[in-house]
Amino acid sequence: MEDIILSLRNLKKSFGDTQVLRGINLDVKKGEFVTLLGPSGCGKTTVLRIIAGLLDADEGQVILEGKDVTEAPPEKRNVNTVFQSYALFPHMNVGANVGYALRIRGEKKAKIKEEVARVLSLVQLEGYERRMPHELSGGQRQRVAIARAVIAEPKVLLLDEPLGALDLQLRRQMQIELKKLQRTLGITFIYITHDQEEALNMSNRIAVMRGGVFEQIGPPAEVYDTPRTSYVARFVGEANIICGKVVSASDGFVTLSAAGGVVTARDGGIDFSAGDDVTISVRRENIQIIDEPQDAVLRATVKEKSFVGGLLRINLELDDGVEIIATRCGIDSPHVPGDVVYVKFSPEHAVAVREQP
Amino acid sequence: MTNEALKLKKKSSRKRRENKRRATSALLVLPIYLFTIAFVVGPLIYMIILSFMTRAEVWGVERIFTLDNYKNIFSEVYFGTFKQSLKLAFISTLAVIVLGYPYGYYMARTSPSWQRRLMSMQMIPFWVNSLIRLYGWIIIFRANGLLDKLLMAIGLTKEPLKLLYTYPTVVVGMAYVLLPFMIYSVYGSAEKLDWSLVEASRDLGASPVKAFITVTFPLTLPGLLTGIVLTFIPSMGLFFIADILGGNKVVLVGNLIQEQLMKVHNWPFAAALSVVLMILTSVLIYIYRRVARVEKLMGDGANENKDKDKEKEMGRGV
Repeated sequence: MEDIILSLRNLKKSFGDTQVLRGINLDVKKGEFVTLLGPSGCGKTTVLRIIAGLLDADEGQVILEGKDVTEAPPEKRNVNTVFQSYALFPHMNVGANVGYALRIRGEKKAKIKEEVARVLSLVQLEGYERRMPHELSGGQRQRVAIARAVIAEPKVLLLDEPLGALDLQLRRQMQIELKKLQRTLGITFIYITHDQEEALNMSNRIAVMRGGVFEQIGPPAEVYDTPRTSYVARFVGEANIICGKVVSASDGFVTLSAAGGVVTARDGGIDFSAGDDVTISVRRENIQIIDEPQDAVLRATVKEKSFVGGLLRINLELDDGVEIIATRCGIDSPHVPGDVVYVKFSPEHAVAVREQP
Repeated sequence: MTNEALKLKKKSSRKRRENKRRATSALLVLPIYLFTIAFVVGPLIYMIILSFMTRAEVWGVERIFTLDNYKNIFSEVYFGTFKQSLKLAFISTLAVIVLGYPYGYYMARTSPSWQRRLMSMQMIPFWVNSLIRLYGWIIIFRANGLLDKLLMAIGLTKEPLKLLYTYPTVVVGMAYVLLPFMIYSVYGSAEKLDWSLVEASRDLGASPVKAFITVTFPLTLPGLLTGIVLTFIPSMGLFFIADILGGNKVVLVGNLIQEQLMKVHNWPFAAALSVVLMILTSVLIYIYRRVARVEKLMGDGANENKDKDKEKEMGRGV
């Protein structure tokens, strides 16, 4: 347990009548990169602000390095934040911004100067000390904000959608750099994003958040491959959701009847017995479209075809009216809207999930 | 018609349209120029000319050039008035800063509903003429007035303090009348302040006091400076406050001008006094603008235009 650096215990928070956090529990290991992933309004920024001490939780505890810091003011916590808006001090130049934490601490001028130069070189902004924030581009401001937050060597660095304001290309580049920086510094990162690709790319673990609770916490591969709830399946993998009734269950697999067919999926660790309602998730790229009926297929009608992001996307409607999406490489397929086809997927590629309200 | 000729014709018609547009816009601005010349520049020039003329024996002005009016100002009696005015303006401004900065700052920080309440507390008295409100202060300060009665009732004093017609009372009156200007200037700055900057400073290890000194104060300084200009300059000229609350004991430049103009009928001297006062305030505004420009260079470029607009307003308003 000694390598757990931060623990959140049953955090609850309400703003007026709306309960924003309904019991957040999380243990973060030293040097880990944990991403809180969720749509806007799910409470992820609230979690971050409570960790930073900028907001008080109604209930629960924040434990940093084994010490309860729930009541401690922000300046007494060895945690720094990279704000979404960067929050660079507009009346200070880059050097003063980056050196702020050390200056407040009362370090010697020469040491501050040296440290600022070192950290600026880490974020590839050597020699930018005298520039003012408004003279910098968005990406450069981002780097300054990161440099300012890491100079005091915090135990945990909190990043609130730090790349949200950057364009796609810069964002990809910064993702790589941030990951590299985290490895160099060995600081624990808690990272907030609503972009599942970013989360899958960078994290050691992802905590998928919805409505003030974590629906699933696990390594990216696990969250992606074995979503525990239909929400996680949709949000992280953009997966198709098919509902049906259990026919039989055995050896980690469940067979169900759905949309006029019978298919098999992994049971995702859930105990099923015949007759239960079941929801399975199948990712778009694992859906095959065939022309002739076979065993374990679902009949569907082609609704629409489009070419998106280098993939051909085919919208299909199952017999029970549920819409599913299949993607495949290439720019066209022989199917045209209105065609009756059969949808197939291997049991390995489908997994049963919990349907949570 | 050849292509060339067509092009030429097009060009000339475009030019004509351009000229027409320019003429129209000039015509539209003309009233503003005329108004300014008639009511601002004209009187100003008249005042300056007047200040070099001689007072007529009985009534009016004689067109004889003289520098005596200006020499007079630097005589001990009148120069003393200038010094007293500056001192009072300084003290009043200080009082206004001490009261107005926290008020404006907290007004910007509270919830919108409280903001409205605090604002109306400032605005509603303004619907009453400031002269009438100053008479209210007389009721409070006069011998055996409200304040005396209160102090004697709690037993802090044994006899009336005779506060009316004293220097401190004039300061109270000045601060009272000018306070809203400071409050609103500071409020304007503090409201624009991005609170995440203060959070960032706390996050980086600053205590609330240190965060205030290093972030909040420098970023609300432009508002404070504006407030200082808006209180310091008028406080040299608000003669009726000194008149009503100071009796004849506190004489300011404003009182002097009013007295010379309305009672003594020495117009040229009143004009000279006004010119000197105007120069004094212009110098102060110049200093303010220099300081504000330094602030702006240090500050965010995004606010630059807003500041410029405000500056322009300031220059025009005074």
